[in-house]
Amino acid sequence: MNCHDCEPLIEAYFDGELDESTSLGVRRHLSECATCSVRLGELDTEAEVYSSFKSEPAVTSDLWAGVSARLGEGTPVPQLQPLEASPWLERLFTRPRVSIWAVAVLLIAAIGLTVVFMRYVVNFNRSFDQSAASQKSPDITLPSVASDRPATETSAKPNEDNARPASKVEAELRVVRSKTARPLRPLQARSQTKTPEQLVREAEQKYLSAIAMLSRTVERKRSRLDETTRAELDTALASIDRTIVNTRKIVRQHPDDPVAVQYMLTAYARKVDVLRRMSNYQESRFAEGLQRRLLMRRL
Amino acid sequence: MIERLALDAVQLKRRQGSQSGALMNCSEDLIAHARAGDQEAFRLIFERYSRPILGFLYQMVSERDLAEDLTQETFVRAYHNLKKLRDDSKFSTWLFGIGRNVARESLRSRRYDTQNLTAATPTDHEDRARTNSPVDQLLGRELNTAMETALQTLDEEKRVVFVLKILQDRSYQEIAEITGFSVPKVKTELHRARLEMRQRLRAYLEVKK
Repeated sequence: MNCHDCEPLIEAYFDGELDESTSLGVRRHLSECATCSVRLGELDTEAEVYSSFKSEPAVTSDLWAGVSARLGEGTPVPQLQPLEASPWLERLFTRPRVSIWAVAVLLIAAIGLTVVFMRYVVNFNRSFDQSAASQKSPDITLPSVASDRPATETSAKPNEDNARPASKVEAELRVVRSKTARPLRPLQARSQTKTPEQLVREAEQKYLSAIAMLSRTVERKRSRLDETTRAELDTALASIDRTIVNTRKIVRQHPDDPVAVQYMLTAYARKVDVLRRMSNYQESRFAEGLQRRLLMRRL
Repeated sequence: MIERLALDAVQLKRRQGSQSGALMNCSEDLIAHARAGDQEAFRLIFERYSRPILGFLYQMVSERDLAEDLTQETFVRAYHNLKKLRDDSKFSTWLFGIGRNVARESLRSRRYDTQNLTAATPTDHEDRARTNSPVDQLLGRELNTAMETALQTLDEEKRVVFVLKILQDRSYQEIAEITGFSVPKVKTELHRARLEMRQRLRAYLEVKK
């Protein structure tokens, strides 16, 4: 041990705070080094001066009397502060509130929770998109299915010459739908609040409303039809009604079966189409008759 | 010490006729009784610790009346917080910790009131040290005054460490427990306090050599 090593240890050595081996090393160095021995002598002199400091006043009997009186009072005493307690501002700026490890653990936990949450959101959106896509069929597929009508079921079509252009038919159907049904909300919003069964019932209800309106119109003009056309119309409507009854029964038994639902809604669409064409046929026949009468008058 | 404890126990037993079976032959017993609300047991504790606590507080504040008030406050707080004492064998350290907090609060509260006085005190001392001969200064009363003045020039942290080590002869570990400092901080503060005190009392120390 040299002076450089010994100097910072001299005070602890003098205070008796060094362990055995370190103390022995310092003692050996002091026996060889005059400079460090002088430093130790200074500490000894200081201690002698300090020990002559008489600073312990005598304890009087009044002291206990004062304590005893306050013990009996049960006066509220401030809570014992931690030994190193300091004003909160001082602690706020001088000490970390939590350890670095605690912060690291909290950060990892936060990242983990975020990842789990994001995965949940992605899965939820994916399943939501799938269910939304399956629920689009009542609104989107029906027109095309309705136009895919087999030849046997178009027997009620009175006359191909009187058929209107497809764009005009679709426009009229939209008018009918807008009169009979509430304005459609966006698909996203509807799907968030309604189940697939509710959506099917809603579409069914719309078709029923349209059928009721068209049936009233056809019924009013029924007397103008000839016997053959009237019989063909009744036959076609009866056939479609049977299909509707049967498919509705299947849908009620298997509400989750998309094929059954599609068949049922297709039957509704066909009935609407037949009624609409019948209505147009009567109007066109009336217009044709009127033109013929006017022409005859001119002639 | 052991005789004193035994005597305390016998005296307590004599005063408390009802507690015939309780022979309190150690401070832990006294603490246990005091914790249960026995003021007589607490009085015995007070008798044992009031002198070092009063001395410590006097060395911290250098005013006798104030030191007595702070001693009372220390023991009252100790009595009401005895249930929070986890290790009865460290009662002394715990009590000195309370005393240190009480002294610190007092020093803080009067810091602004005595700022001018505190600043003037070292100058007065230095003037006296220059005008009086070292031989005269070595007289006991003068040395006490010089020591008190020098102590007051130390900041609170250095002062408490210096008082506990040099005047109360506590170990570094005990000082750390009382003050809440780490042992290295205790060493550092003590070293700095020694340097400052050496400078303040240079005249007396040179004469002593």
